[in-house]
Amino acid sequence: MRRPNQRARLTRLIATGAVAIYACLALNGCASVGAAAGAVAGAATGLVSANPAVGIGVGIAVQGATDEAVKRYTRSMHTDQQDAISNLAGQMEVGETRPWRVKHRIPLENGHGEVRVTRAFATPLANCKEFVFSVADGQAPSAPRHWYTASACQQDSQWKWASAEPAVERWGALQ
Amino acid sequence: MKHREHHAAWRSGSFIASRAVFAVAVATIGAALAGCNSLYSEGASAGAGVAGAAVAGKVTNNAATAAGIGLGAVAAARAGVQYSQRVVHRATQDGIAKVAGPLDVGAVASWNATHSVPIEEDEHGRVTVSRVISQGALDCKEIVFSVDRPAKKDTPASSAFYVAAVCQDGNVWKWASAEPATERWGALQ
Repeated sequence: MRRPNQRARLTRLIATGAVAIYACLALNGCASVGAAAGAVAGAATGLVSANPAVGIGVGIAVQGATDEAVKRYTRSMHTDQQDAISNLAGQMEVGETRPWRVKHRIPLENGHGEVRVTRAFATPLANCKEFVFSVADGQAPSAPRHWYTASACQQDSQWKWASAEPAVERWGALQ
Repeated sequence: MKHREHHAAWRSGSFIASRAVFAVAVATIGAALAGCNSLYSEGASAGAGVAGAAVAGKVTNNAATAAGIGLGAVAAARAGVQYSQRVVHRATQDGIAKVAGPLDVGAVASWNATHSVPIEEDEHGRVTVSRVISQGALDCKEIVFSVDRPAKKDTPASSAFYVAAVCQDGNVWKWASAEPATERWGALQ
């Protein structure tokens, strides 16, 4: 009698997890998908094996794998944003300003604003440009804009984001 | 009856221990592969977590407490992995900064990073100084460096270029690029 009952609970748990993950993906910048998946997997395994340590272990492994997948996905979305801005900057003259916009099918890492090239410099290795870009906080024309600086260098036929990683000492709690 | 319970507990303990050994083995294989950061970190963390929970399970019969100790071990292992990754990556940054520091604007030199612990891939490339940011009391330079990848069977040779800053700190040149604005760090961490 207990087994079908357990199976029903398990199915309900997995369904809840799937809904939670979907709901989470629908929101911008969701980083807790892995935790949700890990918790669901941990609970589900705990039910099957009746050993909480094994359940926790599997939960952690699933959370790790899901975290990796979510990270890879959001990074690729973020690369789209960087490619759009740097390719635009590559075509522009110093002092010129143009709007940029990235729109994904899933509303993750979307954004729009302006790019202004502030400096172009040629080195024996590559041609590079320094630019400032804004990210509008909302769709309204009056939405506040946040400004940042970055660099891009020419790589074969396209321009790629070139700002290198921070000094390791400054990673601190960021990683 | 009591003996059987004890036996069952011992058996599940050894099962968990063998899982932990397996996880640590996975972590070791992960570390042996160049550029396998994610496998290395997840393997080591999960292994420590399961082993931690197993040890705690022997000390206490409370599953929640055991789980808590397991998660604590995961956090500690993750911190350890991050520490080792930072040590290795700092060596690469210091290597490039050391080569770039003495260069004049426009001069090109090559850099090479070979790691004794293969957490990160060995890399090499060229570096040039694009401008002097400040001179005198505080010497800082802007550098452009390439990461050159040789041609492989299915991919042609390629170079990626990056811009960074280095500053002189006493006698040594150190990487000086600051972290991205936290608003831009987002899901990347």
